[in-house]
Amino acid sequence: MKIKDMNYEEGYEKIQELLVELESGELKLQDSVDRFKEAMDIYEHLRELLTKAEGEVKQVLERDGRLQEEDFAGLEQEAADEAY
Amino acid sequence: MVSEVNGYIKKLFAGDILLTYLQIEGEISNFTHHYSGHMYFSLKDDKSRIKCVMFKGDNETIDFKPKDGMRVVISGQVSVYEKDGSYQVYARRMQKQGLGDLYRAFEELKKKLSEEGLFDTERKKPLPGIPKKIGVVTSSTGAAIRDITSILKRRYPTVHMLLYPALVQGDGAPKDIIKALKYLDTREDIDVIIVGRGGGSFEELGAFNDEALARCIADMNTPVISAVGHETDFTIADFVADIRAATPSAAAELAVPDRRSLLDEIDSIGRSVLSDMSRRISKEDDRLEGLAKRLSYSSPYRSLSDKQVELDGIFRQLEHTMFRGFAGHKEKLALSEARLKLSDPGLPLQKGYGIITDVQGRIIRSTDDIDPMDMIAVRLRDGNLKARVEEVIKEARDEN
Repeated sequence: MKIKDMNYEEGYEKIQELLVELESGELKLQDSVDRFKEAMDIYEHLRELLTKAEGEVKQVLERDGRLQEEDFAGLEQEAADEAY
Repeated sequence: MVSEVNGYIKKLFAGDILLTYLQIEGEISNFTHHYSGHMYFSLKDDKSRIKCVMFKGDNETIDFKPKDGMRVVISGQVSVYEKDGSYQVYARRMQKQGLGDLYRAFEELKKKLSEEGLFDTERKKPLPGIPKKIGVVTSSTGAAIRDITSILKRRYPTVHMLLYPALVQGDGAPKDIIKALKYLDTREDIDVIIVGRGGGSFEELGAFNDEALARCIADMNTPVISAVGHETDFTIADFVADIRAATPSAAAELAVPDRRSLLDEIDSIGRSVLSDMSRRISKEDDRLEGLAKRLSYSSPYRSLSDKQVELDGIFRQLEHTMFRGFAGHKEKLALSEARLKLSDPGLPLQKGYGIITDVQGRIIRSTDDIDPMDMIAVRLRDGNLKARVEEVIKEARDEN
């Protein structure tokens, strides 16, 4: 599986596996360098999953008999209301 | 031991979902309103009686004066009073009978659905570990959606949320909620659904005691978290949902993990990977040094300088292979950590560095921060030193 396709749980499991191998101290140097690189790539990927752009907040509305999604501005609206 | 038996029985009671929320109809007897503010009484019908207590904080909301002979409906939980080894009802609410019909309908439906197995634990679907998108069914103007949104933003800001606004009280509410749930269940991208509303009276929460809604929740493919009213409100929807949250805020907390702690966790794994690699490299260094020594002893036919050149070549090659990947990653890791202000002081300490702080624990980075005779603390790998500064020697600084 490609790293960029891993979800958080999959990546987390894989990096744990790699860590165990690295900790065993039984790998050949080149193998540990390879695993090290892979572990660091997964680490970056997991961080990215956790910190990428903010999630969208939307609502489903019925317009002319059709459902469509719109931004849900409930919070901002309320903040604006409070300001006045 | 007696206390162990009573403690065990108390735990058994606490594990029973029916005992943790009951509505009991009956006639009050032996009523006393203790000077502490707590109420003690029994509730009886023509066959038996049960002891009840209602604490001051709960009985302040009663809008009538309970007395012996009055028929009431109380809600609360049955628990064990360990000191006496007796069980009693801890009443949270008391209402005059009359609302009785509504409660009866509630209890009958609860019993019916329970017998059909709709509340069985085997039916409950597990929540996704980390959802990408959360569906929410509630009023778009209520307190519930506000609480849910703000908790999601705080705990796990990358999650997407899709609200399907629905009426949450009144005759049309169950139908509206069902429509919203069914729609969200058809969406492949919704990992978990929160359905609920803020607090209200028993009648106002009535929509969540609707049979059709209960069956709809039971049939959902997507895991459903119910979040109706306050801690003390239980509805049929709560029993049939995959998990009951005490409040809408609690539902949001159940739905997503705390990003902060996930980040801490993977950062700590990242650090372990780095330190394992560093250890490996220094081990390799030592090995090569040993090799070099053996080489210089055991090979008399070549001059020392030849061997030195050869060895340097090996070193360079090794460093090249290793650091090509290593250095870049190390920088990136350090950067992410700096972004997070999370850098673990543990690693430098292992190497023999110390961290100097003032008595308030603030890190001292400059000679400007300290005067002679100040007390300082030095943190080392395996403990702390307390010290007094004898002299402050400033160095000319490069201001570039």
